[in-house]
Amino acid sequence: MKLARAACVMMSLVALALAGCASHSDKTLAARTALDAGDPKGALKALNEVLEVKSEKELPKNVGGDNSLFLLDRAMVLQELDQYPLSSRDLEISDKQIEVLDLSANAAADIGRYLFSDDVGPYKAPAYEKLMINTVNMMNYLARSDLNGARVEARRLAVMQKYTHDKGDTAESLLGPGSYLAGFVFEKSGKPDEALRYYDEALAYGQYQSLIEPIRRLSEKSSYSSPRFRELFSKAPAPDPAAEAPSEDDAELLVMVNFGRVPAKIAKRIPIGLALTYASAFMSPANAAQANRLAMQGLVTWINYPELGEPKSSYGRPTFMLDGQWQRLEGMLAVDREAKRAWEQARGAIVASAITRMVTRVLAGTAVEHASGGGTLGALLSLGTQITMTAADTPDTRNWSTLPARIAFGRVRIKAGSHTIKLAAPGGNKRQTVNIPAGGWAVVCLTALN
Amino acid sequence: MSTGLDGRDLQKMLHENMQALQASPVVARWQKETPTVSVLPLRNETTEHIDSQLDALISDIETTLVNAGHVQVISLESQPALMEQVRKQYQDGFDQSKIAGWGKQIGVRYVVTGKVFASDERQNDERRVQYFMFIQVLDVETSAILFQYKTSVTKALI
Repeated sequence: MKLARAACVMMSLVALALAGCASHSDKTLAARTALDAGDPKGALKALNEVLEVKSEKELPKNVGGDNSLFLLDRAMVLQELDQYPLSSRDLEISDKQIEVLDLSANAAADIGRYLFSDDVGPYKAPAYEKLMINTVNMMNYLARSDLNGARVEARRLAVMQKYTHDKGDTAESLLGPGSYLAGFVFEKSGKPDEALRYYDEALAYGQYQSLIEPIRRLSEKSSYSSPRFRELFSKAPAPDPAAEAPSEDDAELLVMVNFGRVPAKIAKRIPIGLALTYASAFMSPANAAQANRLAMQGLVTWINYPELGEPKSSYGRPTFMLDGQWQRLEGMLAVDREAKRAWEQARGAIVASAITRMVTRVLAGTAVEHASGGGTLGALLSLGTQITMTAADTPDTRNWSTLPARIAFGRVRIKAGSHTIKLAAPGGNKRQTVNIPAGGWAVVCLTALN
Repeated sequence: MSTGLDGRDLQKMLHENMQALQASPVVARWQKETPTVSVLPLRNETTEHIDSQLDALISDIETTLVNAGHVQVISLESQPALMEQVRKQYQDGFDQSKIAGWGKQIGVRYVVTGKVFASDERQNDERRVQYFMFIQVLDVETSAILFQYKTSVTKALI
């Protein structure tokens, strides 16, 4: 009788633990499928349904939790549809909801708290996602010529940049586009010192030949200098004496092409031996010894942890045409590869955290077995406890699933007046006519998320 | 709880600034002259998108000045073309030297303006943001700053 009741309790626990809701990945499947089919409007509809709103003009009642991630996804789709103000609104709301996950070497306990508690808790983003929120939103503001809004995003980015720099986060390599755009924002705001500082940062992370002329021009108004500027000038071809000198009446055009999507996070299962190898530098000797002991006894055999999927091996090249003439796109940043690299750098701490939690679960099961006096009943209760804790402690595989995989820039000085721009990227293209006044500027953005 | 700046924080900083202005020598002088004054938008140099909230403060400053009874306030809203010009200049990058020129265009003797800026610190999981509001009174004829005061609000996530 006692045994039957115990079995019953165990079955209930197992059923309770395994009866889960649809995962984050399941919920965004319809939107991602629509994007893959080149149907951003369909993706928008699917995301509105997930957010339980009638249209993109509405916000969900609760903007926290998973909804902050769905808003990030919707923001990128809105950018693809050129709905920049709504895209900005969604990004700004998410930016305030999402905190940064510390993936530094000494933060294993913190990682465990946020990455192994299933996907029901608050979402903590890796630094690269947080940095990209401000970068993408700067694009939104620049595309509608709003320097005030772009400056706010540039300042927000600077705060995050300092934070990631102080932490020694490997996501630093993703700072290039944000710094380039922040430099552009402050250049057009008449602040040469700040502009040069950001351009200097951009050059630390990427090759931007288009910065030669602006940096030369801004250096005449500022005392800011840098070895990177000197290096850039030394590699640049000498100005053609026959070429027309840049005039104050010239206008400037900046284009941005965002395409592809970063891979999704997946729950990865690895043998305990390999896990201990990954985590060796991140575990205390006592924890490592305990894990080794349990592994030897066969009590812990596999470890689950969240891993970023493999980036797509290659993408086609984007193109930029101005008034029928091909123009150069540069600074192509592989966001997906950089994100993968940043995640891999943090793998040791993540796996260490997973091992620690697994060991805790096994020890809890053993404690239940002892408390119930051992025997078949104790074994069953112990097994039930372990299964329940395991099911409730799955890796969190949420991520910003519509973050572009590639970002490229094109920048040219042009005569004031009307110009036709054609941008193309794998999965999307755009034709836009802009009319730029003398001394003015325009920014055109193409986002293709399939 | 957030480190953002809300309407209450802005009102608190503005209230302190306006109290300091009311007690300042420049207002004592205004009581004898009853001069014309205009309020220009406050610049946003923070990490928050608060431009519309700052615009709302223009009316609050005007109300305080009008109700104190020692100045005539000429609202920039009555000159939309100039308002547009001022906004465009704020967009493209602020130039302090233009303020006096705008004051002359409006036809006022003094201009009240200011800015809000922030100092943002992040360490581990803690974030501390200090917001400052500057209010200035400028003489349109001489561009001299006759009053300047700064208030602050600190927000932190610990």
